[in-house]
Amino acid sequence: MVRILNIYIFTLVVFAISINTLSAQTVSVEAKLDTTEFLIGDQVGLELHVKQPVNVDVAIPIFDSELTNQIEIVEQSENDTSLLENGDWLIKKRILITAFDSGYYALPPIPVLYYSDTIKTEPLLFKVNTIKVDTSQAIKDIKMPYAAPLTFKEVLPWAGGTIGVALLILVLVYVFRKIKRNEPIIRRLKPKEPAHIIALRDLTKLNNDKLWQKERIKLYYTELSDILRVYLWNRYSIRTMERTSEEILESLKISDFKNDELFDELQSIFKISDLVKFAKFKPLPDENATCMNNAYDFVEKTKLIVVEKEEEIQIENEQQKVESGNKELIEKIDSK
Amino acid sequence: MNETVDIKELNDRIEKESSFVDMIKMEMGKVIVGQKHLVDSLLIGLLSDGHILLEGVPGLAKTLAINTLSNVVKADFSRIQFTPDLLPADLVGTMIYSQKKEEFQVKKGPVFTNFVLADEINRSPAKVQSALLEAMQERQVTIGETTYQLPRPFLVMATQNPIEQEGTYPLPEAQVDRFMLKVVVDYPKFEEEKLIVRQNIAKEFPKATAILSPENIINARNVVKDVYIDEKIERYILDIVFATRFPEKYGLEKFAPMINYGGSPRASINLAMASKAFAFIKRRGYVIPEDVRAVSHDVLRHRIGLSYEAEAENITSEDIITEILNTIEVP
Repeated sequence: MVRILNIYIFTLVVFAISINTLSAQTVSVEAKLDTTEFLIGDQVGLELHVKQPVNVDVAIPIFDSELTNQIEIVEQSENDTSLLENGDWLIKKRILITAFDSGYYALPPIPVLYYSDTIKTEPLLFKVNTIKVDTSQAIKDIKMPYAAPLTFKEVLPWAGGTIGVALLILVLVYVFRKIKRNEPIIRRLKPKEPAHIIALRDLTKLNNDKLWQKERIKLYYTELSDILRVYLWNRYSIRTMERTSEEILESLKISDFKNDELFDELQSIFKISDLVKFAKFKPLPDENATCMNNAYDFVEKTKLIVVEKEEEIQIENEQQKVESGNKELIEKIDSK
Repeated sequence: MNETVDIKELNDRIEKESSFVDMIKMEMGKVIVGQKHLVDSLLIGLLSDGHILLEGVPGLAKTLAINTLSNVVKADFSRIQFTPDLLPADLVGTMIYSQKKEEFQVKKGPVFTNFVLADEINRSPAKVQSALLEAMQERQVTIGETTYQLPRPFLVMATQNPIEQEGTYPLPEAQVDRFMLKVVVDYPKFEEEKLIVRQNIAKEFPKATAILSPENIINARNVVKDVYIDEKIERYILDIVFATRFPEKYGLEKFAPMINYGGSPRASINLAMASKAFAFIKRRGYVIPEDVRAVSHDVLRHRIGLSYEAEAENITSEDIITEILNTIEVP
């Protein structure tokens, strides 16, 4: 019986040892630092590698803000699992550590749990150096942090806001003044005078000035041709002031001016004007009057008539009123 | 129309005196196909006593045009091919020792003629150019201690090639200014070139006949001087020239940094003279703005000094003149 018991105990011990050895061979843990020596306050990476079979559950520790009292954790990555060629898993974790005191530090073994067992990394040793201080020199004052230069992106919202507020104030002032003066807030721009109105007014003024009657023929024709040139510029958008008479007439032809009679009238005015202006030509009084009449005629017959919509509607309404009035009258007469 | 006596008389006179213009054009047209602008410019130079600089690539009938003009006028003509080894004495003449007479005798150079064709003027060094340009300006040449008057009419027509600038001596600005006109000769049109080819492969090349004497030209020049130019036109001419000097005053601020120097007073004089000659060619007794505009490019293109900025911007004097003419108010 005792022998049987001994054999049983021996078998259990061998079994237990064999399981432990098998497991220990399949899970391995390794920790390594990027460097074993660094400057105070620098940040150094600590790589934790765990190799394990696929069917084994391993618990890798989650670290708090520090590994020891003096070794702080800046950040730590998530577990990164990859499959090895032999079918095992490799779990990687990267921890960024730092220390704010100089000297030698021992990184304690990091435990990794699997089943009821624990496997630990090797302890690591590293050195934190301090900055060498030249004690022979006088002690310098603490330097203030450097001020970073302002960027456009930082200034933009402030500048935009300021301009916006300024504009708002201006608009409010404008609106307030308008209300105070009892004026409309939005003023309608006065429409530009039509070309023919300007030309006819200037021609009338020139006619009233009686320049050729006062023997000021050159001035008379200079002004007459200028009025027509301004009219053509406003009416047909031809750059007349910088062009010669011939060029103006040429441009008018190009702009599809169809009326030959009016074209000849204009040509005649320009021709006489050029002769008077540049060749001491003295036309007969009849010719002076004819030129003026032709100029009036040209403007009157080429003026651009724009009928405004409001006027059109007004005319239509009036026509409708007249028609309805007529109908009523006819009905009354019929009824009588 | 009741014209004042002066203008009427002048117009009639010019109508009569300028009848030869059409004949010259006709005779030149026998030899020169197209190139109307070139022929007009040669006539302007001839009638207003101004020298002409022709610029164009080879083979555009520059030399032929000048040669033909001298044939038509029946005047003495010399052609001087400017080369790098040409000397001033080769041009104006020199003193030669006569062993027989045991004294120095004057040997007049080819410049003593009515029409001088200075072919490729920029191929000779500055001293030769200066000798010719002095003769152009003074219309006299001094050899030894004696000054000799050049024959009348005296007209220099120089050519230069805008390409092949290597080994050339560009004319200094001060000397270019002495040319009344700088005419840019362009390629003929398609149909014109067809005629040129036909003309040149035919058995006989047409010849221009002499229809005028140098005296006729001198008389015509006096008539050209009588062409009436109004004060308004004078102002217009001055506005154009002043705009090349002070573009900012004429609303052309953009050209201010592009112009180093504008047209000289000689430019104003030549513009007025050329306008009169152009009016004469058009058989008119008075100048109109069209005449001024027609000759402005030829008179001003070599008188505007461009800055590096203009060159960088690819702005030419042509562009500046065109813009000035399109900006200044026509009287």
